[in-house]
Amino acid sequence: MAVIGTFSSFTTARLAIYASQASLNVTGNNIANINTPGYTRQRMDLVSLYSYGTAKFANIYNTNIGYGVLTNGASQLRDPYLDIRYRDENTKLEQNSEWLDGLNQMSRILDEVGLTSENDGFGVIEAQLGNLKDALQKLANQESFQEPDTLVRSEAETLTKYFKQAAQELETIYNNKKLELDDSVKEVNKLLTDIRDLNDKIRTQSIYGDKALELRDARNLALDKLSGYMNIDVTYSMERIDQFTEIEKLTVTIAGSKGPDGQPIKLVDGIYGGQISIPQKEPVMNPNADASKILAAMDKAQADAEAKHAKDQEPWKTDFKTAKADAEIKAKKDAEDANPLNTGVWAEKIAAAEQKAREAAEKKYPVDPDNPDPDRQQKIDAEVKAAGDKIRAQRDDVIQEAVDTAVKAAEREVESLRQAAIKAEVANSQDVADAINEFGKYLTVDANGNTTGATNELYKKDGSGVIQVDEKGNPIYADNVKVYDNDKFIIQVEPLKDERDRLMVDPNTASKRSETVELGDNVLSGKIQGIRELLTEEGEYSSKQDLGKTDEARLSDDPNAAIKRGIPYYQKALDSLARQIANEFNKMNQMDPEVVYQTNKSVIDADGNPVPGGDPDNLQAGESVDYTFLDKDKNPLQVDGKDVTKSRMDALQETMDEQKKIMNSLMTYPRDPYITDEEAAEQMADAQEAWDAANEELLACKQAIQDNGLKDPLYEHYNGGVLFSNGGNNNDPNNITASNISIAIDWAEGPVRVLRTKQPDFYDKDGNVVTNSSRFDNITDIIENYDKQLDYLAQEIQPDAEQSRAMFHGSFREVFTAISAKLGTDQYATAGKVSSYELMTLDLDNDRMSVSGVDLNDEATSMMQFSKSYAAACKLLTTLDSMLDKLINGTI
Amino acid sequence: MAMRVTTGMAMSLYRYNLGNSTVKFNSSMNKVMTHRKFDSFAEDPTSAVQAWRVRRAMVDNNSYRNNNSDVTSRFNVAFAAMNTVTYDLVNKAAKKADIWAESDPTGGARVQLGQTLTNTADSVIQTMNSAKYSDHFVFSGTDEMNPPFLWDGETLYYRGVNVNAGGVKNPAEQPVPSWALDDAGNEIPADGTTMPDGMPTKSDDLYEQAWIDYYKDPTNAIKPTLSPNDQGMAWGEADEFGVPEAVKNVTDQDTAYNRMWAEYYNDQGDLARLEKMSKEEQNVDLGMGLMKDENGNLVKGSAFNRALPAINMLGYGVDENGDPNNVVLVMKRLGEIFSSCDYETGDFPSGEMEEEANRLMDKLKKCNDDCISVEAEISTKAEYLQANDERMKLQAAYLEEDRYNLEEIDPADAISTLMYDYYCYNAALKVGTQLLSQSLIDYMN
Repeated sequence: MAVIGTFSSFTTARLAIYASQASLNVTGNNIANINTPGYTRQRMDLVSLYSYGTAKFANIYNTNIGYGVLTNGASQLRDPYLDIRYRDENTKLEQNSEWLDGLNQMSRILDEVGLTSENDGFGVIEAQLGNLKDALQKLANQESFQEPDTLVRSEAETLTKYFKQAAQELETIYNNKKLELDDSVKEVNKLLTDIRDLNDKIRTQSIYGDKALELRDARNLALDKLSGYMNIDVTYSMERIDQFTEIEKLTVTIAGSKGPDGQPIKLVDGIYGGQISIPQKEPVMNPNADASKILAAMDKAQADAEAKHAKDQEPWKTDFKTAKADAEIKAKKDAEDANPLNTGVWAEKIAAAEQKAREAAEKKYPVDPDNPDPDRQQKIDAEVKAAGDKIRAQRDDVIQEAVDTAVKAAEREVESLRQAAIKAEVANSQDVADAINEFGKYLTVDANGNTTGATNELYKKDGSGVIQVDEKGNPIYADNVKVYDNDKFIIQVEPLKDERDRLMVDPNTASKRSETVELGDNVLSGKIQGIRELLTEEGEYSSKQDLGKTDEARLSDDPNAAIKRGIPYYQKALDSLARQIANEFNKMNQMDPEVVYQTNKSVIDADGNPVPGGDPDNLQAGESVDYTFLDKDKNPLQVDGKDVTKSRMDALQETMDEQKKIMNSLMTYPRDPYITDEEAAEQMADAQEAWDAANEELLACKQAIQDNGLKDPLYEHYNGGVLFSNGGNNNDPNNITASNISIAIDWAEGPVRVLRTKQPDFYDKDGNVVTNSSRFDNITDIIENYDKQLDYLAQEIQPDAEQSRAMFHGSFREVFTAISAKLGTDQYATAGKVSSYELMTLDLDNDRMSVSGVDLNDEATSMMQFSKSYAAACKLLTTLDSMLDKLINGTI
Repeated sequence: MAMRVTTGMAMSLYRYNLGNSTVKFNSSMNKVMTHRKFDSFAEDPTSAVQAWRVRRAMVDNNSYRNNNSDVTSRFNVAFAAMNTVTYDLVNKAAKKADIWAESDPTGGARVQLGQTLTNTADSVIQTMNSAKYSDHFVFSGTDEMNPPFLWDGETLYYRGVNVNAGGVKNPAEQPVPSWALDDAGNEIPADGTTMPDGMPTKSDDLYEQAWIDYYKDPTNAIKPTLSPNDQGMAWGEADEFGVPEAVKNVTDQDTAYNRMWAEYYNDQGDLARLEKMSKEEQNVDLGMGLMKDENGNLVKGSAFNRALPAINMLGYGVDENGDPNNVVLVMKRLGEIFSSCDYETGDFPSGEMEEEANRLMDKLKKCNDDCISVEAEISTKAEYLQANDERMKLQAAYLEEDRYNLEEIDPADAISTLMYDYYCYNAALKVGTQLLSQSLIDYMN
């Protein structure tokens, strides 16, 4: 009907007023939300109301015109492609910003440009390295044996404090970043939950026909935030709700990722959402993992089992028949017993019905004395019987119903047994087991560490399938699964669940439910990855395993690890420098004790056993000289009841070297030969214990020689020894790092000094010692060594480091500058990247805002526009009114 | 259609640009205040690395200059001492001796000359022993805590070793005593019963005594002409100075043969000690590129040797005539000889002594020349030290200039940049204050 009736024009005006009012409301909403983060400007969709079709008998003078305007709901102005681009750039920006933040924090410790204690720009550690050298120069030039090396010691002590301080501050940054990673994981999980819940709400609203614009804004905002933490892809698809309804579904995946099923890894899928977490252990993944192969095996097993246990096959055929028959008989008997006919409820019901029927029949067939009906009683009896039979039939129905129910229940029971048999058949299928063994997710190993196959079960479960946890609540890993400590902070995406914790159905997994997906080292980007890299990247200290150069593929493998330098790299670089300084000073400040101290010579064979009657001056093949150190009374020095000999100390050193090798091999992945974590930990503890014991004994021997040994008169001046130790209360020169480097206790307390010369004095002809009281050639050597170009090897600190060539080559001070320069250069490059990504992100955000943002001028214009149209519609109304008034009141 | 510029966009861009403007303004303000071009590696990694290199060189330069100054002071002390020795003592004494000896003065003058020379020798010892820098004796080689010389009235010791070592002749090279030869010059055979004519029963000379012992008991005593390696006692392994182990066990009760060789070895040992001590070095790092060779020895010329062993200054050992090389001992001996001359006639006690005096006079002249050479050498080294100091100063200036160029700003440039950034910042603020005030809404009634 395209003909407007006389009063329909009022409707047109009313719709116009309503449209203007609604549009003005939308404008108001836009203005109100001008500063709301994530708000997308809205627009009232107006459509012209028009009636299609032509009335066959319409007035020929009527023209087809519209009925006015309709408000078709508010819509958002948004460009999803700009969202994608913005989020891509945002991910890069956040990753680099995080990286830059870490570098900036470290540069406050290691970058000493313009930094100084005296405002002269000579730095702190750098200046201290210079001060130590200067103190050595002064010691060489001006001091003598009689004067202490206090200045050198105090400068060295200050240097160790600076090293410790720097190491401690780096450790603090590391710990803070670890906390930040935990916080970021929590934040991501919150965002994922928010997005999932918003999806759910939007879905519900959509089913009711609401566009849920504000919820979409909130979701977009959450997605923008999420894009800072992770690289995400957002896709929209249509989900069928029922035969007539399809609604939009949002899916968030990790951009560029590939899950076990070859599809992008899902974080949120409609109303299902995952969480990310950092597991305790990193499992070794099966490179041949393929869920589809397992699924195929399961389908086949299912089909075979169903065929085998078909209903028309024995024993099920008989089982069904017997169960039904038994149930029928039993149920019938039970029902009849429960519904007796002659007593109880039914009897009463029958009696009542018959009584009622009798009374009715008697009324129906009154006694007519005038014309008595000979069949009256018969008729009455017939009706009474009919009423009784009706009740009896009801009873039969009840009985039949009970029988049917019992038969169905019996059938279900047999059917469930049949299904269980099928399930058991599938579960026990050798084909399925073989498929899992070949294509399962995780590698399995035997007690010797040899790979035995694969499994999908990462965790240990109890009989009822519940994952077992340790006392801290962490899941316990299955014994046969090969796992490593997750020291690379590998992230996993947990199964997707809805808000009631129901797992999402995923036909592509072996369990046909959403499963945990472990993410490889480089799957993520964004803030999370930025922090992970800061926490894990070791640059030149990376091991073969880190670089993925071993046969065993781990999630944390990264071929580019050697050029990424996070906090551990700078910690280790500082350790390298501290250890090199300590080792060089210690080496140059000591002499072989058998040279300095008086000994008894003896001969030992190749196995270290004494050779009775051996002549130290005339050694036979395989023999060598052993030295027994003497105390001040010329008796053999003893430690733990045994003589202190060179062979004993050499053997202890050998033991330490051997144990170190064992420990290094245990720390090197993959271990060779393969052993379990527990065994490795046990062996490591044993090796450490043996090393500690040998070290303790060796240090005790050295200390005994130093404290009580009888010096050769020509070395009476010798006061060398360990200068730097791994603790302020010992003289242990092993395993020195930036965080433990200290002045050795003997240097601090005096017996040991900076050794001025390694040259012996000499005797005059009367046997008196001619001294070299002011000789300082060893100090000159130390000074020379101070600026020597030395090699710094990563293996010194990280035994399993892949790089064998020197990563630094230079003097102590040059290497410190080189460490700072590497940091500075990285910072410089990253700052450039951040700046560029920042600009790009800003540009893209502006592009988005250009489409989606609220502009005051726009809104002011709209305000004026709708205000005018509102006024015009009102005018139309009054005009129509006056027209009709004229027509009705003025014409007649 | 042109791109919409929304209020939010304008604000966002404004914030970004205002932030940048603030950072720039702050940075140029810092540069003007700190005078530094950069405050971190990240700002200019290349310049920062270069600047550290220069700063390290500056620190080292300062250290080298301190060392240089210290060594220069030592050399000043040494030079002053040698100057005294050379000009005030040796030169004058030598000249006096030369004049008096040549002019053949009368006996009294010769004896007086002897006294003068003896006194001069003592003065030289005192001068050398009193040359100290701080607590360090500058002429003591590597034993600067003790004075170099000790004169016990008979022997001059340098750090406990006889300076006059080397005078004991090798017994194996000594001529056979004349009384052991027959008229034809052949050695008289020893049979233990027939003694050669003229053989003394006892001699103070150990070599001659050994021959006497040999003739008396050729079966048990060793013939002195044989070297100890050919026959005789097992001397054992020699120490670093060539003195065999067994020498230490030789006493006055030993045979003349053993004592003869022990005396020789000990004398040679002392000579070796003196040679070792004369070569002692005290190397100081003066910025000459301190470096070791592949054998771990310091490369010559990469460090400055500040050791000035007194025996290198004044000489040690003896010459081929057995005369001392040491100027003090030469003067002492000359003093002895001249003092023993007849006070009246000036005659020498013997012809040998006169001959010795003549030789020693020549020797004294030579020693005098040597001292002057040594003094000149010290002077040259001191000059080198001064030049080195100048070089270091100059280097310090260059380094400071390098550092300045690398690190310091050009004030004009920095201030004009600051002003420009200041204007930009102010302009940005101005934009901000007016940005939101102007929109259509402001013009609506």
